Amino acid sequence: MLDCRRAHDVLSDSIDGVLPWWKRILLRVHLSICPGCARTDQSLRSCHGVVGSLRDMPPIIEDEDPPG
Amino acid sequence: MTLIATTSVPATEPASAPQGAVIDDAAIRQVEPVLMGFAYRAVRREDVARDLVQETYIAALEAKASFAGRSTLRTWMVGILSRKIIDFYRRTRREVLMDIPPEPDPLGTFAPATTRAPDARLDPALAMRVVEKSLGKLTELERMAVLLVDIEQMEREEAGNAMGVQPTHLRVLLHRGRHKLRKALEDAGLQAST
Repeated sequence: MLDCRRAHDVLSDSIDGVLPWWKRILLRVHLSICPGCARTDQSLRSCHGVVGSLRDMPPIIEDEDPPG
Repeated sequence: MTLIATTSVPATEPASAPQGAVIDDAAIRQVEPVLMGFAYRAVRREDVARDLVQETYIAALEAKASFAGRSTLRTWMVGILSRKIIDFYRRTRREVLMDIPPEPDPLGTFAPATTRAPDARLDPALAMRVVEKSLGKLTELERMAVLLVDIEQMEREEAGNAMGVQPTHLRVLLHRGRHKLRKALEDAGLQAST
């Protein structure tokens, strides 16, 4: 069984499809019973989609603070 | 607000060349908008981005015989550019480029999403602007990892090779970068749409 921290740690791996099958199942079970982690997963995937949509877009230059 | 490239990035990337195909100056220059966009997003300075892209052209022309056509010309050149960018990071020494210890708490970004209801009206244009700006707030290596894997859609192994980092390091960089961007969208009131 995954706890919230361990589930959180593998959400990014889940997006890339690099989790072993047994960990995918554990994560799916956890997300089905934990609304907070399910929300994080949904939010992360939504963000991933937005980032991917920049692929064929020229960058937007706006005044910004120095990079971190 | 301005756009870095006066011409938009081609919707379709140049096709991968067959084995032994001639990669000439014209073919390489077709990828220019992609390279400029990538370089600007990575270094956040147009003058530096232009210099790095120029260096990439030269390196690509010198190494064109090694282009085997296993990847697209875009991917091949982005790989060359990535190494130029990493060299630039090293020269400017804004971030220590070394593998980080995997333990304890390797990812260290545990913070659940807010409990607000998802905004089903996620405005794509606004979300893209928030992400674009937030990319500049990632560390250099986090940004490179996100650019290569999430924007250029490289496999993790290929991205790690281009950056010269171990797979475990790349995994942590991706995790941190992605969650920082997610947090930025949440802070802007933009959450996952259902």
